[in-house]
Amino acid sequence: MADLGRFGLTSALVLAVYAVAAAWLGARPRRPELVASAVRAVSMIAALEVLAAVVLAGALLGRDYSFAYVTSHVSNAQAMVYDLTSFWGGMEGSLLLWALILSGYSLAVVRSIGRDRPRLLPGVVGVCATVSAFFLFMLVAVASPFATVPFPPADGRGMNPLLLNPWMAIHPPTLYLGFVGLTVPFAIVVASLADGAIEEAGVLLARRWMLWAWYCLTMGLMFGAKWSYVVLGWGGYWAWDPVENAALMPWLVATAFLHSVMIQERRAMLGQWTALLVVLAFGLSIFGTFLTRSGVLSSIHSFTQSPLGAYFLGFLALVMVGAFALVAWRWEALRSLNQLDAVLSRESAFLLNNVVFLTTAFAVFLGTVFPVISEALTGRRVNVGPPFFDHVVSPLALLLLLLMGVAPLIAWRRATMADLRSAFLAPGASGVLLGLALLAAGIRAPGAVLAFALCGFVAATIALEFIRGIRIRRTHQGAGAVAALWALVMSNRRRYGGYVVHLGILLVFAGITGSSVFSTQRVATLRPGDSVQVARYRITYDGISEATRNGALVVTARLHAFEGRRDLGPLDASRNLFLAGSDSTTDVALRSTPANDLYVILAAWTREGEATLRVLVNPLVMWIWAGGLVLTAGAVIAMLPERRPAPALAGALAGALTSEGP
Amino acid sequence: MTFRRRPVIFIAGAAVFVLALAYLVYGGIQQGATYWVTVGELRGRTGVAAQARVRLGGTVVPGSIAWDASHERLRFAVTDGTDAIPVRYSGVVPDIFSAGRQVVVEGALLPDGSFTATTLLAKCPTKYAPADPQR
Repeated sequence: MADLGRFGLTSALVLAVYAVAAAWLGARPRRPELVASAVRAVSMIAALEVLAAVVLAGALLGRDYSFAYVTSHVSNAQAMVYDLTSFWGGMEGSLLLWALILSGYSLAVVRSIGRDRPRLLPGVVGVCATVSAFFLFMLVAVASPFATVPFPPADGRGMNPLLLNPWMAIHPPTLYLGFVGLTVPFAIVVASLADGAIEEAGVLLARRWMLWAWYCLTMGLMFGAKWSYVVLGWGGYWAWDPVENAALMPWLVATAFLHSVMIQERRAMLGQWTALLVVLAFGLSIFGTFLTRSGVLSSIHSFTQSPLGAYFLGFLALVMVGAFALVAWRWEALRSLNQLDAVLSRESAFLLNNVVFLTTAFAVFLGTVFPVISEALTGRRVNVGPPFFDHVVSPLALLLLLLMGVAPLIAWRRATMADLRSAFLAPGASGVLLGLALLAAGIRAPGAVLAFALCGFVAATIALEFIRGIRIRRTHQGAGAVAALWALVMSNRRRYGGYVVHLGILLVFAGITGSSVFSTQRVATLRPGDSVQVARYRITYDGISEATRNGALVVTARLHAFEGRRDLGPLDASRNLFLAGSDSTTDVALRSTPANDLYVILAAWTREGEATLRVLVNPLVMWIWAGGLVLTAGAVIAMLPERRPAPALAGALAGALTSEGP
Repeated sequence: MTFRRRPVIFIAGAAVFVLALAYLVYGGIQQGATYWVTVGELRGRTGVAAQARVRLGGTVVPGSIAWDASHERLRFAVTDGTDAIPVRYSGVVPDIFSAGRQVVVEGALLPDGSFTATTLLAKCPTKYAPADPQR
């Protein structure tokens, strides 16, 4: 069976190289039959990769220990569902997943481009096939998932127990959907540049794909944070680990793109900038995979020092030099027709937003690769930890928050002071009032008060936008408030979807502020019957119990939580000590409410029944996850296809009800 | 048109922005920077340099792991193969921490020759990518 998988990948590689050549030769002079052949090759690559994936999945599920990959990621004791998720639990499998997702995207984009913009077809096929060829080469020559062992063992080693968790099962595929999704806008932009026809349509087509990739990246980050919070048992959800940063950087650049593309659409400006952002986002997605898989920076994630790194860097350098050269070559064609009219305008607010997003991405990049840079420059490896990121990113994030409130309300082209006063008086006042209320309530951390006040300001601007829209609709159509809201959102999905996404981001922001500034923790060693008070909670320790479950000794501290006199019920904080090997995992005792999370870790225990507990009270963490849900709703609204041409105000309601098409 | 005035404003804005960023980055590095050292390098240091905040990398000496009496502080030793330094750490112990594993501890050397760590990072075991004897 391994031979079948290997055959699939090798032939897919050959076909990918062929597709690159055919797309290249078919581009100019135009030879449609060659391009059609390249498209067929892309379909064949997808089929062959599916074959390879089926072989690997079959081996994992069938626990065929003659595969080295199966031996190291599956064990007889492991639950069946995790046999399947171990597909992306290791390097080889996750590279195959990457290639597979890329093929799925290639098929989809080839279909839609072939229909809408056939001129771009050779370029898009060429770029997708080039990236495919690279990953297939890695799978065939460097990290084959189909390596076999001469004497299959009776049992495998299984996955790291930390990865046996539902959040970890869905985190990598979601993140990969985002990472790989960045290839599609890149392919479209490169194809447009190569074709010379740098028309708006190309960039706007790229926008749709970018929005999808952005959404997947967001969710991937969220799932990763959730996993870190509930599984790793250290009390936080974000550690500025290089691998987390690897996913954050393309997210920041993609976010910048989603904003700058609006300016390009409305005002035909920032064309050069937008093209650069697409290239950069793709480059960072490859760089992120390189960071995760090469182990160049010591991190809790970097599992391996492998030869992969050099190949990744080589490919990345090649692609980036090529793409930037292409942008430089078409620089004049990308030049904007319009110029900024005034400093006080929506255009310049968006421009500033873009600059801040890119600056944040740059700061994160700098902090992430600082050990490597400092070693190259001074010969000493210097690390900058979370203090660096907190110090640099927090002010930039506050600035972004401010812009999030300002930019959507300020007038296009040129805003006057009178406009500003009418638009921002009420929201500004709400923000200030919220800030004063917090100060009056005894909250003294200046950063947190500022962050919450800004959140209030932005929320008020968004609410005002909705209220204004609903009011106009009601006076024109006399509909009820709910119907008017529905019609309003559906007639301008991107705009109002964007506002809903902003609301989600606000929730995330408030959650991060609350939990990072106001978290309290205490470590206490207790005898059975003792209790410890942390913030408003009191934890009583009833004793320790041991049980064997799923090949692990589970040591549980039986706890009881009280808030004042109120009984909150029992809590269990456990450690799982795996009998095979020296692994252990933590099961945190977690009680979540919208106000705060009570989070208890069993740190240590003695034979005499003493337990050392680390008790944390993290405020507002639930808001982060709620923000993810709100953001999803907004992204779905924004991604729903819009009717073209945009329906006029009067026909909007009818249009909204009938356009639930593909 | 404000053609003459605009570049000045934008250049001034850009300059302010770049300076502010440089200031932020400088402050961040001042706060967060720590040198990476090996056990041997740290042992060889004297005077003020010996007490700077560093990241110490090495392997946990088997049999050296112990909790202190109150169970709030972990003691273990980190070695580079020839020399070892005793470490005291209070904080969350990663699940993958165990004897023989590679760890990175962040903290400073005390005058008594032991190391107080505020951060403990353990490297994942090589389970993900098994050391391939054939390669």
